[in-house]
Amino acid sequence: MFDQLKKISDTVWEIPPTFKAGMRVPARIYATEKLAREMDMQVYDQITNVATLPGILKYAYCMPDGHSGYGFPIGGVAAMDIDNGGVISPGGIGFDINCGMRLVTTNLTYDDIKPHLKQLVDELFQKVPAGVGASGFVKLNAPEFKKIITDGSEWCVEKGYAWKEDLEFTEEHGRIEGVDVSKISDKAIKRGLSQIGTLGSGNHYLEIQVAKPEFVFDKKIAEVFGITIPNQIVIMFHCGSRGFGHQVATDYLEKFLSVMERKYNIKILDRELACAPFNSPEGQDYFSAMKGALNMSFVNRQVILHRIREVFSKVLKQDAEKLGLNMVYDVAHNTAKLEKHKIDGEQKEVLVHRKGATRAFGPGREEIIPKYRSVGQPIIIGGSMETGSYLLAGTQGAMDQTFGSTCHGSGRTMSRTRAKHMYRGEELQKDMEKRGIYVKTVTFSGLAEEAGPAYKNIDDVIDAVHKADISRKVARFVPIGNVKG
Amino acid sequence: MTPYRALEDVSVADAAFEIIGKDLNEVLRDAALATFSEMVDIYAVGGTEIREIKIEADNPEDLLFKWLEQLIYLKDAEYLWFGKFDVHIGQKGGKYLLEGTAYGEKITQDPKKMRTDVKAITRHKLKVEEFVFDDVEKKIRNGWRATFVLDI
Repeated sequence: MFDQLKKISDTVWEIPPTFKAGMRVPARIYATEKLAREMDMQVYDQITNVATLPGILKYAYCMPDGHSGYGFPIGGVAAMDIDNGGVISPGGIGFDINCGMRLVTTNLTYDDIKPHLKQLVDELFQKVPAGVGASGFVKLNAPEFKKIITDGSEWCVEKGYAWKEDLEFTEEHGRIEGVDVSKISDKAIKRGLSQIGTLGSGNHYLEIQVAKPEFVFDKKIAEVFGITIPNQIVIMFHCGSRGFGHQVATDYLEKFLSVMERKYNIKILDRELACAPFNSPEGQDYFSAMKGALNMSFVNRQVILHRIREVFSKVLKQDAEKLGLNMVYDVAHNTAKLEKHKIDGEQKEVLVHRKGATRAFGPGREEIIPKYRSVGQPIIIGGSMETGSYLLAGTQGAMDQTFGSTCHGSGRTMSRTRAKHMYRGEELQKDMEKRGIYVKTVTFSGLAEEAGPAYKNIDDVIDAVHKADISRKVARFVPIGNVKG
Repeated sequence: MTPYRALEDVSVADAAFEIIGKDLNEVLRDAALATFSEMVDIYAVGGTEIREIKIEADNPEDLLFKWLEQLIYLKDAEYLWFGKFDVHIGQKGGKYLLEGTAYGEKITQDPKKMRTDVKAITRHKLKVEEFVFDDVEKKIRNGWRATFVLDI
């Protein structure tokens, strides 16, 4: 397949619309040659299917961490012209609506933490439930849950689970307007009712990391983002909207399948690309419900931060404020958002789907908080549990090329089944501890599934987005403690 | 021999299965076993919690989808995991009607038996079709085959 790609640059490859019947735009793969060669055929098949969606603008994009998903590949981005029949597709967002990342700084160094690391991780493992059937400490009834999905992180401030300033450092200030709870099924609410404050499973995690000075690539932006101390301890975690979001996605995928062809005469190449015109009743209903899941996920991550602050405060015997447990940012990587972008010299509001892709707004964008506006928004990219993670900044290049989008993680290269055959979780845990990473996991089979070699090399992925100028490298973080879902 | 087969290279981030059985009852029963095998050691799950499930669908694929969707819903909404299923499928007025019983227990998060959570049944590679296969005695049988992918 690689030989059929047209090289646009060292990090951009194009599949022309002639490749597949029905393609309305070309597909563009953001990757180095190495990563592009290694992408499996399903990625190319899926991204060219995305290029057939009604109303798609410019290109169907795949980021360098791209791998096969359903409907969209993971790492897929597509912007839709909502004024000209552009569609919204749950497959372009994913089942885990607003799966995302949160990064928190501390004023601690590795030497401060080292004597307490095991205790911190053990306590976090207790306080932040993970795995099948995990239940959070926040006890809610349906009416209160509906308040959460409408009010987002503002609910957390009211209940004492957030510092007011946390909202400023969250995308959408932790609350997106326009949720209509009547568009959300009781099934979705029942699935999510007890899951606020839980990590989930699979590739979800909570990590204590170190910002080593040799891995701070842009000191100026790092300081703006709060990375100011050599060997500074940061905390990063990855989770989403749990069963609530999964059910919202399922409900609307089924709804769209039932109306798409019959009512809107839309034919698609993959059922997981089921869609409806954004401005249709069904499209608007899903958008409203999806926003509810967005808000719920912000609340989930906010409550987890609350627990992290409690644990650090308890173990280190100081207030969380004194420990400097401040947010850097919270980003979503499974969403669809209405955003203004320049197309053919004119500002236009479009719907941007990002599935396993992160917003990467560059300097000057009004959506970025004043503190960060001059340097671009923070982008938090999780690597595998064995390798490390990154903090990037959004660029004008992203605005010009990818509707302000970039990668979201490493991207898998090995199936979960194969990883479980090749690795034993108990051995992996011991091996990681020898290498200075203390891991607490809910299940050893889950740990095996997340073995480092099951993922692409995060450094390769980050180099690709940096070279393509759709993100700028700021810092790399080394894991030292991990709670695995 | 397990009644389901994990498909390694269908979906790297998720779990894909193939089920072959002599009839739809067997295939849907074993699809449920495969789904819960991702989440728990199904042989270690008790049967004190019983749920009766009725599903109606236009075709076998929708039937499989709705069946697994309902089980995944119960997992989160009622904190149940299941290790045994009885399935009876009939047809009436052109519709497929499933009456199922799921036997399980409240989720304990016992690390000895817990595995990885399942978020959803997807429509990706979802297929239920009539299938001719050799049984263990090498007899040719007319049966059914299903493939599906679970979002992990």
